Amino acid sequence: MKQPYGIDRDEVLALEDLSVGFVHGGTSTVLAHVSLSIRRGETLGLVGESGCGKSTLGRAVMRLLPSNAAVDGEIRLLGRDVRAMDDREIRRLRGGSVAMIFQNPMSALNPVLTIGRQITEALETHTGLRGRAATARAVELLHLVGIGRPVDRVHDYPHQLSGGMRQRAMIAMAVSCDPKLLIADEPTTALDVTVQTQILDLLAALQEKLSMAILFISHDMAAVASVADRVAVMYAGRIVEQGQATALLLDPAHPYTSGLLNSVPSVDGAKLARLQAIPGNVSAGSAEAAGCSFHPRCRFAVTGCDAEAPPLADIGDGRASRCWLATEDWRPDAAARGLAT
Amino acid sequence: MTDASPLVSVSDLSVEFGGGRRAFRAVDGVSFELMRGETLGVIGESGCGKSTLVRAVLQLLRPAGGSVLFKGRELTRLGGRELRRMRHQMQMIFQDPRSSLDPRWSVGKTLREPLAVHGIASGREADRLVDEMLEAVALPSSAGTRYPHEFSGGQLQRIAIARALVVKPELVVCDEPTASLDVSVQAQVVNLLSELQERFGLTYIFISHDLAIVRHLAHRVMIMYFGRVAEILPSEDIAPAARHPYTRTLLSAVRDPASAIQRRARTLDIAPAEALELPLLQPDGCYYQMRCAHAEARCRSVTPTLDEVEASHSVACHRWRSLAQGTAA
Ligand SMILES: Nc1ncnc2c1ncn2[C@@H]1O[C@H](COP(=O)(O)OP(=O)(O)OP(=O)(O)O)[C@@H](O)[C@H]1O
Ligand SMILES: Nc1ncnc2c1ncn2[C@@H]1O[C@H](COP(=O)(O)OP(=O)(O)O)[C@@H](O)[C@H]1O
Ligand code: SF4
Ligand code: SF4
Ligand SMILES: [Mg+2]
Ligand SMILES: [Mg+2]
Repeated sequence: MKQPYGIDRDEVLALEDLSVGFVHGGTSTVLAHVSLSIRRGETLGLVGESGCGKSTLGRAVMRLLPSNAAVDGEIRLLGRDVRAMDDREIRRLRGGSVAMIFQNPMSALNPVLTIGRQITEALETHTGLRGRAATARAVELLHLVGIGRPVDRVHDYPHQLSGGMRQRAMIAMAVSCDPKLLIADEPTTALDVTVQTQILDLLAALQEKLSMAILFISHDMAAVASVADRVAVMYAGRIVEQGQATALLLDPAHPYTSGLLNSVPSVDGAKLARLQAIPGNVSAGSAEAAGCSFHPRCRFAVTGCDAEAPPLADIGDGRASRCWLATEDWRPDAAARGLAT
Repeated sequence: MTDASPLVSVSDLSVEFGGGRRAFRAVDGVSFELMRGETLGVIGESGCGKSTLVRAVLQLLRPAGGSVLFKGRELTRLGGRELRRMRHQMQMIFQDPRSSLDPRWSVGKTLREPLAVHGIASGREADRLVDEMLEAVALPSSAGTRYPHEFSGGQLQRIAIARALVVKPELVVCDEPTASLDVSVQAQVVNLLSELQERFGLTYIFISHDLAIVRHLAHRVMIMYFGRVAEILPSEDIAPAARHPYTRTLLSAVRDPASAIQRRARTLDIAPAEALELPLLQPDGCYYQMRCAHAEARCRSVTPTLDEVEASHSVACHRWRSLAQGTAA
């Protein structure tokens, strides 16, 4: 395996300056110069509202983008350039060292095959396990993800399982070949709250056991807080804030992160007359607009925010914020409360 | 906020699907009252019968039994024509505005149509009402000449709200109106619904699977489990007051970022999925028995009645008196 000199041996995935546009007539930029990395045993939470480009990023890593996608920049997986791989290598990669789980397990599972058969098929392709040995491993995997009576359940078809069970089966299939990277794209969005918590706990526990890296994509801040070690917040195709999960979620350094966190009401505590909404909508093509792309919706905008785009500036402790105001100690929540900054 | 007589009074309402031995009660003996100007939040897991319940209240499907009084009139006995005459007083807003709006109709036509159908206004008067409604949902009046594909999800939901309100209804049923919207836009729509309620004196039934949003918007919250009411209580102090084991499970599953971070500190175990499965059959006694940590013998044979804990707080659990208030389930 080609290992460029000086590379971080624990690095699993690194994106450098990744841009993706879709061509139809003109080109619309969906991701603009995204750089991030995930190390062994680490979960990176990628948050941002619908349409901001999260799934596009996940699909780019798996080389699952449609043919009208224009990709630029570097995608390095286990030290190798994904964009330079031939079709055979890519097929070995998918479901092997990188696995993906989706929002809707029903669309990813084959309705006419038992879940046991679907897992043994993956095992045959990627590990060479066959016959009884593969079935035994499938039973083990279903047990691992908390499915009771796995010996019987391997014979079930997807429609015989509840939504939460299906998501567990899909996770079992995803981890069957011992992936180094698991991409989870909104894995809990379609589930009930009580089941969501279980799936999030399962992912956290599995990561501990299997020490894989996880890219956890979600628009749900609380879900991200349950599993992520680090968080990257995306807005209009760019990373606007990045840092350790606890610090970032408890003390955001970008007005958009703060807005997302504050627009969710709590179940205890005093009721507010109105929720703190972020005004406006993400406008299409704002990845290319001049100035800060959050500017039209930002309550802290100052002169100049609409003219020049702020860089993703390092603000210490592994934090970075793409905001002109994010100097060392400026915080949107503190500023909103009128505290001295 | 309220005057003495309820706007809606539902008692022992049931809906059945399928016939004979395969009959399945999607709604099973539900009763509640709704005062003028009040918001009743309805919460429960998917498939528990929330949408079916409100469709039966509005007579969009006919119940198998029970009664629905709307301003004192028994809706279940009204014929199709009489119901159509009352329709504009009861409107509904759905989860996905994209599929509930006709893509070939301009926004103006979409809003004028119900005015014509109910014979409320036409011509200049209709245009005036449409403009007034667009202003009320904070859309420019130029929106009237545009088409659905030109709007974002949040803007489309504003249009759907305008269409429901343009006929000046008294009761508005919102079926997960924010579920298809982004977190950052959800709050805008929730705030708009509050403003419109104050401005037009509306009465809401608000369905959601998000307990935090329901609590924010509703005066009282009704928790449904498998077609039955588990608990109805004021939304103000739902966390300390909740008595039903299912309500408490829901409360403990709610995650906000700060508490989610704290929860991670504890040991990581893989919990079995079995306990979470919905019962496939409707057993004798309490439907929650399979998932309930407090179930005892009578729970498996006797259906709990909806008992009053105090004014505007009722619970359907045999053990509500002995389960100390607010302790974890
Ligand atoms: N094949 C395609 N052709 C043109 N545009 C596309 C294509 N696929 C995605 N897009 C656009 O790219 C943007 C980002 O899409 P993507 O699905 O990655 O966002 P997302 O953040 O994951 O959204 P969601 O949370 O709704 O799934 C959207 O504006 C979408 O309309
Ligand atoms: N037309 C129908 N025929 C048969 N079953 C139905 C029909 N409509 C709804 N159901 C069933 O009734 C139950 C309640 O459905 P619904 O009211 O849609 O639940 P919710 O809105 O809470 O998701 C579900 O089990 C659903 O499958
Ligand atoms: S750069 Fe200006 S507009 Fe952008 S987030 Fe910071 S304050 Fe707001
Ligand atoms: S009636 Fe029994 S089974 Fe049902 S919720 Fe109460 S204690 Fe649990
Ligand atoms: Mg997506
Ligand atoms: Mg529904």
